[in-house]
Amino acid sequence: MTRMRQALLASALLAVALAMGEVALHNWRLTLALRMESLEETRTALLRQEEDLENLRAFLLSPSRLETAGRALGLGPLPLSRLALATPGPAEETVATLR
Amino acid sequence: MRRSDEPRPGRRSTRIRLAAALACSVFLVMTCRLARLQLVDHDFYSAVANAQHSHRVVLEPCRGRIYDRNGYILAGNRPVVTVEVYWPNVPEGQEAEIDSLCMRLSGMGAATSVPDRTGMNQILARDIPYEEALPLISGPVPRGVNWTVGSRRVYPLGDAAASLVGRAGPGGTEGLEKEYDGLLTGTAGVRFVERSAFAGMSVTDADAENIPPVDGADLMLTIDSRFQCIVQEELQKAVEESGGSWGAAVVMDPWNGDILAMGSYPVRAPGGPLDMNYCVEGMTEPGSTFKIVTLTACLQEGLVTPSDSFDCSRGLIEVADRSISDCHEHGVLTVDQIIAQSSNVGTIQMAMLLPDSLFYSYCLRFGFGTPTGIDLPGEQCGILRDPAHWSGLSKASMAIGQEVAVTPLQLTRAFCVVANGGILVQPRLVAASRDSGRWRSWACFPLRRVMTPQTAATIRGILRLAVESGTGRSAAVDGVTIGGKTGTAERLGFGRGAYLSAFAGMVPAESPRLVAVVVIDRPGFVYRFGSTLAAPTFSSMVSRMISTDPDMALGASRSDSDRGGVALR
Repeated sequence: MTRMRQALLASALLAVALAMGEVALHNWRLTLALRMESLEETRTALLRQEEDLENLRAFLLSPSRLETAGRALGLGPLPLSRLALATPGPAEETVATLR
Repeated sequence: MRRSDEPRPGRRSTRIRLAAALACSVFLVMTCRLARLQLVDHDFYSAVANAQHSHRVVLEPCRGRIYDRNGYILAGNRPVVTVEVYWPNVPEGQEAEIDSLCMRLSGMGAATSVPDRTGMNQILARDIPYEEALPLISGPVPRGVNWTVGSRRVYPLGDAAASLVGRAGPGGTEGLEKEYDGLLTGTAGVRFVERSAFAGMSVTDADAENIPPVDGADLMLTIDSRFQCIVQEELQKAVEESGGSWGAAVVMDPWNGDILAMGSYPVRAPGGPLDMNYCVEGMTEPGSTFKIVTLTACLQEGLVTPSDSFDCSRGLIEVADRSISDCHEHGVLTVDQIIAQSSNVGTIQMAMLLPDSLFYSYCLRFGFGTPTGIDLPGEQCGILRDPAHWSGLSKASMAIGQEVAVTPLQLTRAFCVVANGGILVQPRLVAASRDSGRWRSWACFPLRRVMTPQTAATIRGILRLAVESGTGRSAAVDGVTIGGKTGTAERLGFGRGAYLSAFAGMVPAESPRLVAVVVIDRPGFVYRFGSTLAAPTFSSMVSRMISTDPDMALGASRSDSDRGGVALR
């Protein structure tokens, strides 16, 4: 009888331990899931900010905007008469001036 | 001795049995009920439970971006926030919080609506830039208020490439956005989320069949945004100064058919929507630019040489009881002078040497009368009637670019044939696409040989003469050799005094790196000639393009010719 009681007690303790383990495991999974969720939200927010910044960069680098800004600063393209082009090749053909 | 109030052993045993039977019955009932819940009605109750704590979220894919050939964004996405309120969830007496929220939203420059409790669901503000809305949505929002993040298309170049790239938005899609909508859109995903009842927390259900969204493919165009801006600006200036009804300009790499720039003006129709892209939808008589077809046919068939001469001294020629004249009397002209001086009389005399079917076949070989197959919606094929429907005047008219209608793109492609040594190429706008992070190049391919490289070289020499000493002098660019042809066409159906001013040219003339065509429809009378409007516009465009990228003045390298159709024989 005593042995049976001991067995019953051991089973009950094991069941309680297992239940507590399950609760702990569940909590751990939930914590990880929430952390994942939070990281995912941060990632999405950063991707959106990156998208915004890339658009802003494209607006700032717009060729017509740069040209207008350059001209305002006196940095417009050179007149073709002041441009010389160099091409690789024999010495006498190396420099082909536009004028 | 037994006490008298203690039950006798027999009665106690009966009670225990009854209690045990009762407990067994209850246990049996509970087991049956449990079996019913777990086995028979499992699916039903499982679905009810899932519906209470889990919900399905559709994940919108990101629309693919459109880049130019240098990686500059032509069409991107901007995250925007929409704020809405579900009035049944707003507690009575807390409307002031919603009013205060609306004031904050209007302070962000968003289009807000006045809170109105009569409905169920109301959008308070839409399209708030994400960056601006971030402080609002990251903090607590009043009960009943919900926000969603979507995206809107943005075009950093503004309207400079609008007629080409098109638009994608709630109002529909146009241009390239429409042509490649399926590729750009991507596929939506789905995520199952479990939500707590009170804490307002939600986590992704890892065991559910979550499907990630597949973003749309990115496209890299052949367009150079620097050239695109130049072309669009110069075209706008020319159309506005001359009072033209519309203008179109195409810049193309003759070796592989890459469209480097494609301008069309006006960009927008009155009222706001995009106007048509006149480069592919604007059909006009090409005028004298079409004379290269007559010239090619005669040279290629060995009917004339550049030094052969024709008498143009009368200044007019009679064909089928009609007389066609030159602007002024030229005297006796050689073939190269006929083209350089753009003599109608001389060109018609050359055309008369050609059988109708042969002349028609050269028109077809240059790609006139059929769509170029460019990846833009709404392309027109032009008008090219077959000889069975010609009048006695038709061949003479067509030889000088009347009785035929072409699009600016078809004309550009025809000049590319001369520029690249005789190969008709397929124009293209998309150079590569990026799917799953990897860029893949799209093929460019030549279509057919139209003339021999020797004939093409001869014609390039004649076109250079036209710019150096002929009608195209105003197209000259300081320090760079230009070959080209002016065109002035009568616009039939628009009354007297309606003309088309056109110029088609190549840079540099000996080994062209690019071919450009400028067409301006119905300009003011003083601007009607190709030499007075289209040619100077071409010159301005090209000189600015060369200032921006001086390599263009160097001519085609061996790698350019290797890229193109020279593999054809």
